[in-house]
Amino acid sequence: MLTVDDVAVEFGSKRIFDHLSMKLGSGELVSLVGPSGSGKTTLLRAIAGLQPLASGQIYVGERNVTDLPTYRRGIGMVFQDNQLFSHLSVFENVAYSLRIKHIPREIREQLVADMLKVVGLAGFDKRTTMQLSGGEAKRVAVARSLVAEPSVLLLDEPLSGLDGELHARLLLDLSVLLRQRGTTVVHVTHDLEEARELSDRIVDIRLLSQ
Amino acid sequence: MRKTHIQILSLGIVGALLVMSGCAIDASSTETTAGSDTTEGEAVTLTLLAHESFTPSPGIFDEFTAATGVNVSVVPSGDAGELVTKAVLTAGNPEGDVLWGVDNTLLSRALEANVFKPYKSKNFDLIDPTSTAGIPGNEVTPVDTGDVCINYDIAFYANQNLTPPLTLRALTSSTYKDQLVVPSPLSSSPGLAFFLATVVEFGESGWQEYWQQLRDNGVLVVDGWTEAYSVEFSGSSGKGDRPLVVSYSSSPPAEVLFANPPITEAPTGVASLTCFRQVEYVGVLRGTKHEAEAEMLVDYLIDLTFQNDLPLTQFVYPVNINATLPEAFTKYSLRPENPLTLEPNVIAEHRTAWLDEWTQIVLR
Amino acid sequence: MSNPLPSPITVRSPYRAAAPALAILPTLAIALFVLWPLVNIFSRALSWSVIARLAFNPTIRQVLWFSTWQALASTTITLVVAFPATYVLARFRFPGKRMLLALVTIPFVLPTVVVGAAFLALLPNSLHRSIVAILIAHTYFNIAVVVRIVGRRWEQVSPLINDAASTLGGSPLRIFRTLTLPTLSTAIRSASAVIFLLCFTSYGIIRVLGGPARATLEVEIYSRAVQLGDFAGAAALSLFQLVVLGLAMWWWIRSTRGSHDLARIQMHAAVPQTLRQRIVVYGISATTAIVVAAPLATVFIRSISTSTGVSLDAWRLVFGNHVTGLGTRPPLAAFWTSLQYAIATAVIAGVIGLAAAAAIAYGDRSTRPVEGLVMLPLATSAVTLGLGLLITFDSGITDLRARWIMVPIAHSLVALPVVVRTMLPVIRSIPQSVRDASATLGASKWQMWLTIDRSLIARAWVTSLAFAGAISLGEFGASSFLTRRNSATLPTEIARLLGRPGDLVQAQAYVLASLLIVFIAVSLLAVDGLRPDRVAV
Repeated sequence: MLTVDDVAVEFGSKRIFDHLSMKLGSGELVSLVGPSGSGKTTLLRAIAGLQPLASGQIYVGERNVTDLPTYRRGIGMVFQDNQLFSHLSVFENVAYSLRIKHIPREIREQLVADMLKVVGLAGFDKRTTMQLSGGEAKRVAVARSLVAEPSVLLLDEPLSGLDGELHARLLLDLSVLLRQRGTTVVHVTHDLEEARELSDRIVDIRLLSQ
Repeated sequence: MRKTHIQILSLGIVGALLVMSGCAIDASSTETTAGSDTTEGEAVTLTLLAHESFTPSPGIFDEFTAATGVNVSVVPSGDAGELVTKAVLTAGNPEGDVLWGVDNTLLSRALEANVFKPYKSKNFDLIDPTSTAGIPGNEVTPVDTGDVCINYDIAFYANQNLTPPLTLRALTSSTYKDQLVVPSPLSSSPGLAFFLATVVEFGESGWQEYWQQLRDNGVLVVDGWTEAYSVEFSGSSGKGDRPLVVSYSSSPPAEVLFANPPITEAPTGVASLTCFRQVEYVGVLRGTKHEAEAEMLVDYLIDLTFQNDLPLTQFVYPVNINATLPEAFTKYSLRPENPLTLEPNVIAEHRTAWLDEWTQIVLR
Repeated sequence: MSNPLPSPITVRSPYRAAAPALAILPTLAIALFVLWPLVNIFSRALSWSVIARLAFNPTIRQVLWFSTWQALASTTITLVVAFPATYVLARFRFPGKRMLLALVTIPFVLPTVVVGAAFLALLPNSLHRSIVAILIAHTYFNIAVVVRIVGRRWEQVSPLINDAASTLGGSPLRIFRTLTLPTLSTAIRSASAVIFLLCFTSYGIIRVLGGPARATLEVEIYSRAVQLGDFAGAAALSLFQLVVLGLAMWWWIRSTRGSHDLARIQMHAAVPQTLRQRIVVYGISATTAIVVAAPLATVFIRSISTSTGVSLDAWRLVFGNHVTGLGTRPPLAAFWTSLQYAIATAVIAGVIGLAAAAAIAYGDRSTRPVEGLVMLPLATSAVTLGLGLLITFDSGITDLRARWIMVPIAHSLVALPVVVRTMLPVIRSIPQSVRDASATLGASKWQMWLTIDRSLIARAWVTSLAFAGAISLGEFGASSFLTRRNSATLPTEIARLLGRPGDLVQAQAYVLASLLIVFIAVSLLAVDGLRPDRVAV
């Protein structure tokens, strides 16, 4: 479903990684681990098209998306600190991608309500993002990405900052949810435990570069 | 990091306080109002309020101070209109002792507000009697006169083989289409004088049609005299594209005197039948604490020393009949024999209504 | 519109108790130097019959209509024109950025006489005395308002938000419309209100560039009061203007009160990375610099041109402190006078503005009116206020008419709204959590203020001092009415020289104007040098 072929990324003259390749089957969940500064987040941003490549190609399915802008790649991403739109309500946040696709209003409302139910936030739609706890905000971020039905979902340290029971519950929910929906996922974390719990395969990013 | 900011702040404040205290001392020693008595001994300092165009020779009051022991501090601000406005608002509790520069177009405003303390100068008999008309109560004393006339660019008309317009009526002729620039009577004192000239010439019910014709003939109205004369007029430094302008009869000598490199012929001429006479007055402000000294200053202002200084520093004509005109004035300028005039009280009565009407005819 | 953060007003400030005391100074100052003079002149000149007469006067209706539509048009055009520069300055870091920011701010504090003269020289004859010239000049003046107020908000918007939106399928245009604009809307409204107020009350530009056929309310007030001696009419019109602009300001304060800058002031300017970004950044910077600098350059060029060609005569005369031939005053003296006024204005406006901003930010409902009060000078007719001051401070120890201090006081009134608007967001954005942290470490309220608030406020305060100083340097309206020549400032001296014929005299005016520009540029560079983060106007 996702093919990363021999890519390199540079910040100015500094090379973050090069000759990096990886391949994900449809519905596969892969966790990338590695120490800070090894380029995990940078790789996700490169896949999403938020970070220009120095060289290499990226495919989603059969489609070469290397030269496509982010918004036309069909790749979703959950950011480390959520990046919810603070001027919009929970409902409007989740409905954002649906509005862009001009989904009619009734269907949109139905889809958002369903999705909020799935992530356990039924009835939260009128709240402002300021009124959410850390766990709730994370659930909104996941819902917002999933409702767009991305071909590939990128999770950048999705559970950092949450701990103990909350972390465990959210991890379980996320794992079940992603498998049920058969989403193809690249998950970045520094927490091996979290990686084991969530994914099919754990890869150290340093091993991806030849 | 924080330390440096505190240092900057404290330095700034200390510095500011020093400067302020320094200036306060400085200010109190150079500026004295009528209301405040002088501190040092008996020396009186008179405050002479004037408009910005009051530019006599440096040291012109030395002779006065030597003779009377009275110092003079000149405080120019704004134009004649602002000057009169402030004087009216502070009538009876003036900002100074003597006021220079109210003219016959503004005089009645000041008289209505009772701004002046009447005084008949001991030099009154030396004043040209034509300029003392209209002030029977001696509230003010005439100090200088000027004539607002159409000026023309001599070279332009020579090149075109045309005669320049000599009367107000001629200005509406198609020969002179798009050639005239005038300052607005709403914001300019020569502009107002020119407007009044047309009222005298064509009558209280005739000027409206005349201005309609001027408008149809392409008159350009600009905000002030400087813009008209130095920007739009073709005969002066701005080299604009209008060969006719409302200015003073003393403008041609000014052109010669300020020319760089020097010239011997005036580049501009004056249409003498279009002139309106402006008279400037000086008056003792009611409420002054130094009335006697203020009266001495008025005497001095119409005495020969000061009167002879006027033409070349301010380009106006002295009122003292014994004053001598410099050669540049007699050679390059002409003194209209029968300038148009209007009584101050007539001007006062109709001005606002006339200007409202003028605005609708010419500007809208 | 919901708030990005809980409004600090709803968090009760620990200094609440001090707010009423802080409010005393600004309230007294405005009451003494704005309200009292206005009441004085109104009560002396106004009558119902005059108000009734003017309300039905067609000329007044034309004037009111012209004031309004040209102000609306100027505001809209300024927003559009300033947009690219705002974008580049807010979102990117690049060499010369500080210079560019200082450069676009210069026009805002330049006296209208100088800008008017520069545009007269720059624009083709066909545009003299036209509405186009007015709109161009108004836009030129107010670019800085947009760059600073909108830019300040924009640079705090995290680029990650845009990234998130693009992973949801949002195109750049769509993101701009659905995310950027709503986030900036308060700042845009705030900037629009300031520009509208300034253009509605425009005086110098209208007189110089608009020609006699165009009058704003302020021009009409001046012409009635000064040229016609119709104090009653002038007072009625300024009361009218006060009401109209007071309403506009009330709307503005209300619509901007709810939202504040993010608590942690975090800049997100980035170095341009891709070639396209570099082209955009450098292209827009260069264009902006050229457009803003052209009229300034004209001023300099005119200072060295005479009818006989290029010449440094005027500079020699000014620096030789030579008598200009038209007046006895050495031209450089105005320079020192202006400097003294600028420092005094900075101190007066700085102290009053600090008290006002603190009273508003720390206070509750009871100190709220202060916010409207300190904005009052923006809505007041300068001519009317000048006349009011003249008849108010006229006797005994209050006879300030010839006193040196009167001019810095008038300048401070003009600078006060800017000072308060610069400080207010900073004080409001100090996170309560930081104060709480210091309280848990055993700090008393006063120690808490000294260690937390003061250090965060100090920089904004120094910035606002420099702003007040720069405003004083360029202030022309109030001083033209209050100054006397013994204490002429640079702008009044420039205006006086520009009002005289003769190449050399005009050139000397432009020499002084060039000096003023350099002077203002230096103080503005100091502003932006002191603070890496921006300042709101």
